[in-house]
Amino acid sequence: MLEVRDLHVYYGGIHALHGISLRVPDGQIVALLGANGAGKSTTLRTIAGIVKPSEGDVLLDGESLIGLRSFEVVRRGIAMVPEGRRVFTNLTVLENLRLGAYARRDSNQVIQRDLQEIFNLFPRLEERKKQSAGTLSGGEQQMLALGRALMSKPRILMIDEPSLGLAPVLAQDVFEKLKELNQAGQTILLIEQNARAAMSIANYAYILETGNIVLEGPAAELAQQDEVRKSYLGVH
Amino acid sequence: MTLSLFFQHLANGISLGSLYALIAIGYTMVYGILRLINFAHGDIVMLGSYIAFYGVVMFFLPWWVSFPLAILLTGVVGIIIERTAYKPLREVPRINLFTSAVAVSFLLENLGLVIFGARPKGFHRPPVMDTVLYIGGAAVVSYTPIIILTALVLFGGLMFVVHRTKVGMAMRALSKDIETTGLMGVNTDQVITFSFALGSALAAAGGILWAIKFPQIQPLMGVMPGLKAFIAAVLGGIGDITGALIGGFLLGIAEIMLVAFMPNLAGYRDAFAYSILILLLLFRPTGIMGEMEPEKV
Repeated sequence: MLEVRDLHVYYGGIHALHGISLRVPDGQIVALLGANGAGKSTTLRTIAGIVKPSEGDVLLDGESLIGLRSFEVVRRGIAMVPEGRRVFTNLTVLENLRLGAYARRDSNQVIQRDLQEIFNLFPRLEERKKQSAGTLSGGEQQMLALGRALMSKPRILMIDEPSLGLAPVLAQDVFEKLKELNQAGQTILLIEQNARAAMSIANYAYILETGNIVLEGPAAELAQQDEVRKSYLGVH
Repeated sequence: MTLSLFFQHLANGISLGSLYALIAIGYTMVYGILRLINFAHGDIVMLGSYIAFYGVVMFFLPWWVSFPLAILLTGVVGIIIERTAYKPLREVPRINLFTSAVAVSFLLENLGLVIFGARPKGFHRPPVMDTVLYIGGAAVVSYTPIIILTALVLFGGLMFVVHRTKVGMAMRALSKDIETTGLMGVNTDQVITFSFALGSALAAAGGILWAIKFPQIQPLMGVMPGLKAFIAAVLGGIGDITGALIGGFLLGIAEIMLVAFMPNLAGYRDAFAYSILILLLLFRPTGIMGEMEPEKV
C-alpha cells in the first residue's frame, strides 16, 4: 500500500500542498480529482521524487520514499505516466518500451515476454514498433506512455491526466484499458479533470482544492453527493 | 591542378575534417544533453596530446600503450571536470554553468603553462605513421590514412554505443527529456557523466591525432581546434552526432580546398571558418541536421 502523510510542498515560494494525506490500497484504483492548479500533479510529482516536500512522508509498505531520487522511486516499484505523455519522440516505439524496463535486472527473455504482453494489450504499438514515437497519434502516444510505465512492472502505477488532449472516444479507450489492467491486479493512482470518467472506474476518490483535500470517499458514494455533482460532474 | 594533386588535397581535407569531427562530437553530446557549450573542450584536446607525449618521453611506454592510455585518462579527467565544475551547477541559472566552463578552460590552459611549460614540444610520430605511401600516383604520408581510419573506427564505435546499447538509448532519451528519463529508472547523473567521459576520450584521440598531423604541442594548442570543431558542430546542427561528423568533414575539406584552389587566400583560412559560422547563425542557426523547432512558450 502507498500512503501519503501530511504532505507539504512549496513550489517556487508558493505553498502548493497544505498537508495532504491519502492511501492507495493494493489492487484498487484511487482517483485524485480537482480543478487546474489544485495540486494534483504536484502530489504525484512529489511521490515520484521529482519534487521535494518540506514536510510529511510518503510510504510504500511502511518504508519511507522521502529523499529518494526519481530513478530510485521507480526501482522501488512506483511508475508514473507524466502529464502530456512525454514519450521520447526521437526513439522508436520499441525503444520507448525497452527504456521503461531500463532498471530491471530480469533476463532478456523475461522482458521479451512482458513486451509481448504490452503488445497484446495495445496491438497498435506492435504494428508500429519500428516507427519513431513522434509519428504516433495522441491516443497512440498515450498507450505508449502507459505501456512504457508498465514495462517497469510497477507495484503502483501513477497516471497524470490520461484523457488530456484526447478525443472523447479515445479517452474512453484509455479508461477501458485502465479498468482491464486493474482487473488483472494493477494498483493505480489516477489524476483526472474528467471527474465523471475517473469516478466510473475508481474504487475511492479524493477531491483536492487549492492544496487541501476537501472531500474523500468511495467513488460511487462521492458521485451521489450534491456538492460533487455540482462542482465536478456538471449536474445542476 | 592534376588529378593526383587533387586527391592529395582531398585526403588532406578528409583527415583534417576527421579531427574536427572527433572533437565536435564532444561539444555536440554535451550540448544535446545539458544545453551547455563546454568551452573547456578544446583544452581537453591539449591535455590528451600531452598525456600521450609524456607517456612516451617520460615513462618510456611504447606509443601503442601510451596513446590508448592517454585517451582513457583524459576520459577520467572529463569525469572529474563534470563532477566538480558542472554537476553542482545543474539546478542554477545556465549562465553560471557557462561561466564555470570558461573558468575550467582558463584553468586547464594555465595549469598547462605552469606544469608543461610554455615552450612548444616536438611530438614524435611513430615511424609507421611517418612513411611515404604512393596511392594511385599520389604521394601520401602514412599518417593521413591512419588518421582517417582511426577516426572512422572511433565513429563506428560511437555509433554502436549510441544506437545499439542500453546506455546509448538512455543518452538519446536524456537529450530529449531529462526528467522523464529519470522516471524510467535511469540514473541520469551516471549517464551524463558517461557522456562527458566519452566526449573527452574522443577529444583526446583527436588531440593525439592532431599532434601526429601537426607534430608540435603547446598548452594553447587546443584553442583553435576547439573553436573550429565548435563551428563544425554548429554547422552540422549542434546536438546531433551525425551532424557533428558531417560538419567536421565539410569544414576540413572546405578549408583545405580553399587554400588549394586559391593559394593567395591561404591567410584567410581561419577567417573563412568564422565567416561560415556567422552566415550560419544568420541564415540557418539550427545547422544542416538540426530541425527548426518552434519556440516553446
